[in-house]
Amino acid sequence: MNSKKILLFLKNNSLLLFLIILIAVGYSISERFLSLDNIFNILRVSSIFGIVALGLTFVIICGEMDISVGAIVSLTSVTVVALQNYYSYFIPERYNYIPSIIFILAIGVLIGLINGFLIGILKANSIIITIGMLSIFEVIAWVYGKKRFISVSSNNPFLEIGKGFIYKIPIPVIIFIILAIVSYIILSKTTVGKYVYATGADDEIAWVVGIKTKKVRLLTFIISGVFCSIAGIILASRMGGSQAFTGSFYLFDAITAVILGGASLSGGKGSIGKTIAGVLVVGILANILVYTGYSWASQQFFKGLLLILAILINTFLNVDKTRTQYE
Amino acid sequence: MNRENLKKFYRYLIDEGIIIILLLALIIVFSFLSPIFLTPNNLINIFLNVAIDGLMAIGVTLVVISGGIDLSIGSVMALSATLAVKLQGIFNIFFAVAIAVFAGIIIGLINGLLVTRAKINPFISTLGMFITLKGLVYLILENKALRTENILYKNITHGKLFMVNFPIWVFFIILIITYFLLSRTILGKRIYAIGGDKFISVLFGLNYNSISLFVYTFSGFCAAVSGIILSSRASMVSPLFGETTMLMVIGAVVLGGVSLAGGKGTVIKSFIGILIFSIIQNAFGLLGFDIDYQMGVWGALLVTIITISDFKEKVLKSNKRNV
Repeated sequence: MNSKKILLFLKNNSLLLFLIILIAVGYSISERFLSLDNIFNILRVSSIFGIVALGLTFVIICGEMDISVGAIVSLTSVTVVALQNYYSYFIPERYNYIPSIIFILAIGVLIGLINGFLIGILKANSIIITIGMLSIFEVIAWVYGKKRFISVSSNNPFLEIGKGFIYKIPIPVIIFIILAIVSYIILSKTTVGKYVYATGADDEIAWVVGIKTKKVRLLTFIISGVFCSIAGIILASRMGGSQAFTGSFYLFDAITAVILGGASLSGGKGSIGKTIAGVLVVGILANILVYTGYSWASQQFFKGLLLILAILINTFLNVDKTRTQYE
Repeated sequence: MNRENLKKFYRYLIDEGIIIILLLALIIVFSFLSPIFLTPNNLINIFLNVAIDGLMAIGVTLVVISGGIDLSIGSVMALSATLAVKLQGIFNIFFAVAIAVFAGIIIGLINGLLVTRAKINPFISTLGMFITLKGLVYLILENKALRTENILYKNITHGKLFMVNFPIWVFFIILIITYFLLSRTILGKRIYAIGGDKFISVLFGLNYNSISLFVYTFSGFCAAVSGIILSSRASMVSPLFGETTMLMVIGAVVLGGVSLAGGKGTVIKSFIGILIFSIIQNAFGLLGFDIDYQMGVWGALLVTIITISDFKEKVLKSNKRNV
């Protein structure tokens, strides 16, 4: 009886277990792992792909896939820098980040609308459409960014977004927390959130009970687009500039975070809380690998290996024995 | 040709014709725009590209027909190229190539086991494999490109049989074998069956696990052979190999008309998709367009064609309610 209870607890909280193990491993490697500086460092690094993962959670719960997220981050980070350099001709440099950020958020909505229109309303396959969109966005970013690294002038207040602090907490982390709360409320506390789950679980039945499934799909892609553009703004500010293809790394991290969080690619499953746990697992893993002092290449290798292992254990713990073996 | 056949022909043209018309249009337009386009040398160039990407496409086609997906092909290709070039310094060249192909087969097998035994979604497990192997390739190559001067190895692509380079022969032989495998053998029918409806096919007594395992292993084998051809053609291997391959090849396969939902498609369709991709790639070079735009044009083409065909399939022809 007791062992059954423990197993059940493990099943429901396997990610928590991972987190504890990872933190223990990290602490044993270096004492500095648990210093406030390093914790904020982990959170700051995780917040960018974390925001992408939050947006992706909506899309995956809705039963679709968005492979273009990394490319949207690249495109918006390049555009936000290029626009500021353009505005600096007729707006004082202190203020030119305001119109450019507003413009970028609008671009995020527009990208989401295009993706959502093709996938939600014209019912095209989301994987292939977003693969196509990925190539288009990256090429636009490459050409618009003049094929090189473009940078913001070093005294621009725009840089504060990525590097600054409010009450000693990094600003990206604050943005991430706010967006996490907002998306938690949307997904768990509102009717729209229920519609997203219903559409992902079975769109035919959702349609029968009166949910406008096309609009729900459209909405999830708009949310993903806006979140990615926010991530793009933070990325550009953190690096003091940007270049095409910089965002492409975030695709894999974001997808693994969402999947580790237990979201199913067939839709209808997953939650913001678990996605955040997934984001922390990926972020801490990356941080520990940095502490071990291996080269970038071996970090990639071990990261991939450990993530496969984590997903293996996660799936193993969550296998529902009552369901048929072949669905 | 009687009326019935004519009707069938029209239906075929509407259903499958777009892609063939697109291919013919591209060939005609480019042959007018560039006098070099239809010369034998350039055609061999195009078909060498087709052989490299097409081999991976054949493997992926089988996986996709069986209802799965293999995103790791780019990294498998890079890994096999790396092993083949790196091990030349240590072993006999034939042994190096054999090890490279064997590595591809083993990785395909692991992919298959992760999908069938561990029951991880193929999208996730092969994506994880992609990242892991990419790291491994960077690790082996120590972040830099590696050249090979071995004449024997270079001759894998430059050697000719009846005026045509070896890789093109290899590609067409594998294409024909898989075509017959899919359309004439029981195994082929079973691959379609598990892709069409996994549950029902298992009820009918098909061994889902072993069929799936075969399909992923075959895909690993194809990617490994393709890696050897690519590194022999470039006479080097770079850690950047296979970076965008997975998107391009899977895009081309779906463009050709293989459905990601499984149970539909032929290797010939994938071949046509890859041919279109390679022709666009080649024409960009010939016509002197900015090579950077190529990826964007490919993306736009993909989005347009897939939207049209999915819209036709799911909205216009579907008997279901318009959900």
